[in-house]
Amino acid sequence: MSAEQIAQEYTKLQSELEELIVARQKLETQLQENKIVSDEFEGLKDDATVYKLIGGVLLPVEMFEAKGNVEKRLEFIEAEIKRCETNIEAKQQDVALARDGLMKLRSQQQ
Amino acid sequence: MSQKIDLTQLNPEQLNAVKQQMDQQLQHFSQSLHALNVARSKFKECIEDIKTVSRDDNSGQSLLVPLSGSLYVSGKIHDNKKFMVDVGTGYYVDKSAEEAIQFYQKKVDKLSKESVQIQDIIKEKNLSSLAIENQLRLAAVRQQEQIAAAQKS
Repeated sequence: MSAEQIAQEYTKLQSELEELIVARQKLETQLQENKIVSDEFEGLKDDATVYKLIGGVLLPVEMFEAKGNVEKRLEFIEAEIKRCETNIEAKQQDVALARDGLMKLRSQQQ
Repeated sequence: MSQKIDLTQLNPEQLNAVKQQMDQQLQHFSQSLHALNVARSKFKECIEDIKTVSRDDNSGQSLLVPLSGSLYVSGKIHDNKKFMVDVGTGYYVDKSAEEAIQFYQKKVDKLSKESVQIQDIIKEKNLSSLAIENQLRLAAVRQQEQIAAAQKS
């Protein structure tokens, strides 16, 4: 591989890593939002009326259903975060490898 | 995340890089702080609105309901002690005036706490930024002296 190719590969990997990090941040925001909702549901009386906004309409939903729904979403998001983090770690290794390769090449050229 | 860097060990380029990084962080935190304060004042407004609407002399009060930005129909408050609160992710909960105020007050308190935290971080970063600037100046002076010495010899 030529130096140029390696450099290109390196920038590509870096931008991929950045994308993954943005995705991770988005997931964190969602996790926090759902956590707030879940906490709020925990503090509610059992007979509280809960509505879900679907499209342009508010539909009354059962409390336990809403709770279960948010719980499930939390689980899903947590799993996604784990997946995203393994991806980030792998990508970081790739980036480090590419950087080493680039450095080696540079020192050879000098 | 605050790893220790000995500023006196860095050359001017590195100092500049660190300073840039620091400034970026500062900007980021300032933006966050601003967003936090905007959100907090919105919640505070909600509390005031609840207090106004739930006043006894406002029961059965007529009002205009916005259908769009420029279209209204007249309506009447059916129950001025009952509110529907957006708790997030598309869920809404019926609450009494007191419960609704509590809900928003809790949010305001939480945001106030976080706001203080961010302000502390910003203060700390500002100090670091100043320290870096100082080092940069020193480095510049040193460089000048070196150049002067080189010219003499």
